[in-house]
Amino acid sequence: MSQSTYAEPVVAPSPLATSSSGRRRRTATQLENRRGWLFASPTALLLVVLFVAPVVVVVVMACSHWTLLGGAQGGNFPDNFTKLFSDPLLGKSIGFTLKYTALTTLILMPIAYGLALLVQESRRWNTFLRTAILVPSALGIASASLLFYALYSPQVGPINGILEKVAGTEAGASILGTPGGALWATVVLVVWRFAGYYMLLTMVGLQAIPSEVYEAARIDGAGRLRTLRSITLPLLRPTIAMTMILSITGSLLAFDQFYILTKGGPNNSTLTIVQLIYRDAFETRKDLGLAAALSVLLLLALVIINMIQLRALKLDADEK
Amino acid sequence: MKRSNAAGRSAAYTLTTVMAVVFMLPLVWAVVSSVSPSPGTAQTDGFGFGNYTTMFRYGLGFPTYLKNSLVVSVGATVVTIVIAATGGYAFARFRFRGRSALFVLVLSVMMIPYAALLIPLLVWMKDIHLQNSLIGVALVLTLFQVPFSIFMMRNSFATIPRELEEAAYIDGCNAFQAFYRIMLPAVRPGIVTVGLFTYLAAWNDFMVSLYLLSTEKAPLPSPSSTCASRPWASSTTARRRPAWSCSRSRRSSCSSHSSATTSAASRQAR
Repeated sequence: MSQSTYAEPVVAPSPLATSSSGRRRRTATQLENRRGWLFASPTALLLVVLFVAPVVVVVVMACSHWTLLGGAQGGNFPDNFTKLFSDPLLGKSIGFTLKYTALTTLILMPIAYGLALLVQESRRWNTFLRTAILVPSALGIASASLLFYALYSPQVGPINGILEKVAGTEAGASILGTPGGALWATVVLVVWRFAGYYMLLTMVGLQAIPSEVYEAARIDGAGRLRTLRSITLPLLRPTIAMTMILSITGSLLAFDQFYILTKGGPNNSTLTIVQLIYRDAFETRKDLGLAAALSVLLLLALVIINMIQLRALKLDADEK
Repeated sequence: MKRSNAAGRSAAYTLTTVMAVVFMLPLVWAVVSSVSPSPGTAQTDGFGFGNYTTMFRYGLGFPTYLKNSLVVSVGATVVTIVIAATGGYAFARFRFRGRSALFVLVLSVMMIPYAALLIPLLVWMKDIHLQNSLIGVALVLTLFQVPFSIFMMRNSFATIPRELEEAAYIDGCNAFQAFYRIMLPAVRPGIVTVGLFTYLAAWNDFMVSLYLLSTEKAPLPSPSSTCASRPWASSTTARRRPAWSCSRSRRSSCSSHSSATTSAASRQAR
């Protein structure tokens, strides 16, 4: 459609248009329809080309024999999925991803809430502290992982030397060399990178609590702890729910930090699901069909998890 | 009572200060060690910027990666602003046929993990002639920003009174002119927010460019990451002070092998 179609002098969609004759009303609706699509078309185009089409392609690929170097070689419906489920790495990576998600969320959330409570009062010194804690959040996860890779390095990083003195670990042994060490090293990195971000979100929630409620509590003689337990935490529930959802969904899809820090090792002990997709596609099997089948599983799992979480949030909002 | 309050306050201050120092330490260490002498790097004696020289010449040269990053980030930002402004306006003001279907589509982008779309995109980008293209990556990054950006812009437009547009129509503007001349300037704060978020997300992207771009198209995070996969990588790239330093003698071996695999793959995938 050309631009000139819309250049015609038009009547604004005012109450006038709806109260006049049926024919005019129809043209008004048509006009609104046309105008709406004029503005919605870039969005629709992008979504159809880069979202709907890939979703279709991933399903087709998951049902085809499709290798990295050989390309598409016809359908083979259940094969990719049977191959996928017979891979012991699938169960292992799902288990690890869940463990990592639980660990990160359980450690990160209390730290973020604590920091928010500590720095919420607006004083000049607090502004400075807030900024200092927030700076890591400006880094990309990939850059932050690289930074910690260097910190953990036995050759150049300081952490190995510190651990050697404090905990008496073996000199020269990389922290990333044991499954537990690799997991905790990544958790520390993620807490460092995200604590400020979740602190900020929590502070927004804290500021939404009206000061009258606190005043009433003080008049009723509530102490600090009592106020925290009976006023702040209950009123902060929507914020807590939101930050937890963000943290859970983010951790379930972890890739950058493990790709850079641990490469899934040692001995595939820190392999996440998203990493397994990459590995099946480019590193070990070079099988795009298999990777697509795993992508479909991941997609379905995340859609279900997101729906459950959204429903929980909505129930929470309805209670209010 | 008052004294215990003061004690509590100073304890809280001490705790926050300690936390702030802990949070800043890794960055301080990165900056200090990037200029400190260390055996096996380009900076062996005394403080200096030898590592930065290495970084500048590393791989295809820092300017190339910087250019790639800028094309992707600025491209994604511009396209996101155009799409979010027009789409947000459409959702805020017009009841057109298929509006709710389109809205569900926007919502479902949020529900679906983008990690699951990269395998099909690798193949699909070739079909739409955007294979190994910086603009293609910018468009993919735009897609992931669409839900947040459209909500943001829809809410911004919803706060503008309708009378403003009606006045524009009466003054002889057509729909596009009313949007461009009257509505867009009114939602400038929303546009700035959307632009900043998109720029930051695109600048920090690692995974999409790892899947979709070859070595010579790699943006800043990628070459540095393959550098770190070698044990001798010593420093790092922070967002503001890129300072990853690799040993000079083995620089040639630090090629972006994974991106190379990907590009070979996408060439042959169909």
